Amino acid sequence: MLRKPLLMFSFVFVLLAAVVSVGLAQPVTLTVAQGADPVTLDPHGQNDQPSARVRVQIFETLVNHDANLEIVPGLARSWEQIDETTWEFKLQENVTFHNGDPFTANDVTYSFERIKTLPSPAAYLIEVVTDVEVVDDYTVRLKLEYPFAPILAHLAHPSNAIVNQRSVEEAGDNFGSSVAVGTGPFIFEDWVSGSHVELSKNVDYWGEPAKVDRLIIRSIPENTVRAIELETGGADIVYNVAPMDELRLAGTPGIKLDKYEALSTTYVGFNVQKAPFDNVLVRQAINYALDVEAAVDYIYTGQAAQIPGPLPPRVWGFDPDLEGYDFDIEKAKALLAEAGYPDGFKTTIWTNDNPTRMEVAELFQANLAEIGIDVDIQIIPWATYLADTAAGKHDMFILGWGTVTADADYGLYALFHSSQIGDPGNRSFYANDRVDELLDLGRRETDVEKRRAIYSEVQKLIIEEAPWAFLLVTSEVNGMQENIEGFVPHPAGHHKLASVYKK
Amino acid sequence: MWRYILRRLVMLIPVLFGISIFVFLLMHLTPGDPALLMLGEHAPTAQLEALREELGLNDSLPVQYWNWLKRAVRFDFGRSLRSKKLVTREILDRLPATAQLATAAVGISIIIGVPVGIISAARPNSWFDNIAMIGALTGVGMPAFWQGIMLILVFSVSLGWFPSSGRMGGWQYLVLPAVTLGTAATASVARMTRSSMLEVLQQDYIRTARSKGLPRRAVILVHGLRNALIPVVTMIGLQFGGLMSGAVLTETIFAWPGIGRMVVEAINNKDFPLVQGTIMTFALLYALVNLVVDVLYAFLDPRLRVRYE
Amino acid sequence: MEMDTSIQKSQTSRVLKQLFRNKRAVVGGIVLIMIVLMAVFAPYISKYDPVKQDIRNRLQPPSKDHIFGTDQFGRDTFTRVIYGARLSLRVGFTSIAISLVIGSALGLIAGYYGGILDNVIMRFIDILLALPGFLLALAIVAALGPGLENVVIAIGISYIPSFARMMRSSVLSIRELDYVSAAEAVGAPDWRVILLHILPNSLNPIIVLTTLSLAGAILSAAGLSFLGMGAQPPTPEWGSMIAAARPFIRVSHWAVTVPGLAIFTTVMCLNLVGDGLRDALDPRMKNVG
Repeated sequence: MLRKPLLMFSFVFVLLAAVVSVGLAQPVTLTVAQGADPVTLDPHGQNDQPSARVRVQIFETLVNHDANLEIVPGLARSWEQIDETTWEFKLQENVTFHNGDPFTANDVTYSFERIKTLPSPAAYLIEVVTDVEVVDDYTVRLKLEYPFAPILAHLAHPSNAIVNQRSVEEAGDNFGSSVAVGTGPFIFEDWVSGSHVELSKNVDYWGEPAKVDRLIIRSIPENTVRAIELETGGADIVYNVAPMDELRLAGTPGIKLDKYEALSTTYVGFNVQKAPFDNVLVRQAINYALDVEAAVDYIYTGQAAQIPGPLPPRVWGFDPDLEGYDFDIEKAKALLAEAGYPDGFKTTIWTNDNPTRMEVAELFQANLAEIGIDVDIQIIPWATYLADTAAGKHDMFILGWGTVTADADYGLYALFHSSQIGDPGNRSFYANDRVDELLDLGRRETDVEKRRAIYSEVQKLIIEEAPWAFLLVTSEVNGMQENIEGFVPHPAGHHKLASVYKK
Repeated sequence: MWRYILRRLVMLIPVLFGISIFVFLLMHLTPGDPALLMLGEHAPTAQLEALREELGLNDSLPVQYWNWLKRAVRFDFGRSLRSKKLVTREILDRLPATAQLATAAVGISIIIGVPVGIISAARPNSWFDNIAMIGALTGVGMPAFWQGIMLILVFSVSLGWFPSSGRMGGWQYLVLPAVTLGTAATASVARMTRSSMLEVLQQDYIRTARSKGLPRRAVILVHGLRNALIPVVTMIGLQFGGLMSGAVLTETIFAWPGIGRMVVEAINNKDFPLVQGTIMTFALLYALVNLVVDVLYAFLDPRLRVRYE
Repeated sequence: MEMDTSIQKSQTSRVLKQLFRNKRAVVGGIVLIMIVLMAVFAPYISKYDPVKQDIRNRLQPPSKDHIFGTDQFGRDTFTRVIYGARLSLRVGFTSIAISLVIGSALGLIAGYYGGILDNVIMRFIDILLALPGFLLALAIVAALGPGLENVVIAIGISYIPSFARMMRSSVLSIRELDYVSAAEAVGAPDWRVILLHILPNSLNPIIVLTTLSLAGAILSAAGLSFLGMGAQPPTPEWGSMIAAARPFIRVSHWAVTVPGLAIFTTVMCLNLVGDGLRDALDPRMKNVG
């Protein structure tokens, strides 16, 4: 008699165990690889892409850009412009931070104050905000210094994420390295310096929860090695697949590629205050002499598109009817002769040690030799690159610009307004009264069509004046395993991964 | 013995002091503004100036050095300009990975290098010896960065035996980087073992042992090896220098999260405190390893032991 | 004195004989001479320009026109490698020349005069020795900025300690020799003693060290270039060629493999010759292998 219950018991036990193990299905881990370690997970710290890519999983902003760059609700569920310089935001209720604190209007005030007092390297994005007023627990009002049309686009930038005061103060200097408390769909678990960041699913997320249980974001600096990691199964998704690896991965079974046009342009800037680049004919000649198509086809192997002017096409305000410069050596020679340099001249072009840019520099060196311009390539380390170009020590330089807010104001103002010469972004030292006037008008105009017309005019003017040689907009390629679904690329590169799942 | 160690430790102080001046100057004479680096390109001038003042960048160089040194002796190298984390923290986070890699590489060099050297010495100019020594020269001349790429192509892409990069747990991740890093060391150890064995085998007492009719194998292993290993120990110690250098290249290729890769990144980012901290750490580790080797050397060689006691 | 030179002459012929008997050293030497000749006569060997791009012809596999294919800019890989030999050899020779001159001078002074001078010099050398050579070079290049000249300086400095130490110890042992002490005793001026007795006698170890250091210097230069701190494009330096062609390795590995083999062959041959020289010059090792 004793045996039977024992048998019975073990049977029930086995059954239970089976049920439990089915119920507790293997947790799903998503492994993503990018090209560098984050610098800090504090959204108000260093404003770099590898960090942003981790932060957007943990922290959230008041409003968001969707995949088509339309503004959609985030921590703010609705908003309205009360007068020219006042915007009111209604906040989501029932949102809690990862440490259990509820999210309220005070967190918005605290975060914006923190951005301004730290200051966050991206504080310039909300420079125009003079005051954040708490109306009630779930309503805030932003006061602007002057009417500023692109304010919502600025608030959607990941650097304006909302943090929790208690966790920031408790963590002190560790905030962003061993502590990162946000409201997002993933919770920070661990950061192994130089290797990876580990996040886990926030089961109490206020919105649509993440579809995987664990998210690992690895850093693998070598492009080739990162692509190999996808092939060998060490990663589910890899960001920034290099052109050559794209060609190869395209034919690899079990792997799919996702390509999207980004918001980043690459350009050659002239120092327009220095001879011979103070002569608009010389600048136009160089625009004609550069074989941008060859750069797009052979260096970017299709991971780019030539653009006529300074703005990438997906940015709001881009004018599709613009005409740029063709590749025309004869025209270039004629313009150079007209400018008084029939035999060309000697000059330098700067690039940082970005391999693609170095290749571009080498190609342009060969192009310019065709019209008699003898170019010496100088490779300047990134750390001094920005400072030295801001100080105007250069002749020509290759640089990129990411229009992170996807609005024409951001893509033009800092680069061409005379008040922005040097450090803020106008490294070609370009100054033109009409351009200044139009750029000022554009940022204040709230009528959408009028605003569009303003930006059309200014783009035409800038192309004609050619303070840059306009080159291209890059596209980015992410590679992923075939069973990965639900990946929605963000044009600025910091893709949110909560919607991703494995088939 | 203890007095010897103590004396060696004391002798370390001026050397570290010297290297600290060198490291400090090196980083301060280079162009690039740390304040600008910390605040980013959009920072207003007033804030930049305030930060320069706070960082002491407006003081004279000797004052800056003195302030830096006072903290450096307590292993406080300040904060990384980029991540704002404590440099010491960053180094401690990354050090285990490098230590693991270096230990594995030394292990490989001993396990393979010593036996190969012994067999080569036992049969000089045999086919084994010729192949082994050409192989060893191959290992010495192989650029680690090239070898690493080739190993990834063969062993992780074509054969799929090992992961290509990272340190995500599991010994599999260690294999390719350790082999890459250990190649040159293995080659040197094999060469050194061989020549030191050959020298010892010429000695009188070995000839005596042989003439007494002891089997060749026993003579080589018992009498030869012990004496031959003394210079080999030094050699292995010396390999640490090469390993630290090699780690810089190897870690970069294999995305190995150690301080070798960190120092390259820090140099590229002009992250002065991090560069200073890492280089000082390298110097300190190198000095300590050399000390350990010297002590071990003295311990193994009775003649020397007497001298140090 | 006369006896002295005749001894040296017979010693030279003995050394050469020994060296030529060493098959590995001979092979290494022949290959090295071929590499040097290729570097010198590069423009006559190849009809291609090492720098001019032909981008529409990029990443070609080996063919009749391009025996090692073309690189990412359509340049002939073989041409770039033989022009690269010029650079790599020049970098090796100039940097080791720097360490040879400065290092030996320091070692000579320290060993010959001793005392405080010796102490000061050797403490300075200790500081340089506090970092492994490649890291020292890396730190110096980090400060000076990238570029081939700076690499030469950095590597030159990083090899100073080996030469200084070698020179110092050989000076110390030579001074003990009877005829050297005799020359000093009869009041021969310092420069005469150094020039006539010390330098000729320390030549052997210096030759060996120079050969072996050359190999190390070429490897270090390539490593620095690989990290982006050495030669800048379009300079066809081997290390930077590998670094630049690395992204394309899966499409065409030739532009990576060939310069890699070039570094490897050169370094290996230098080591073979260096080993041979050491065996021939170092009497202690005379009877061995």
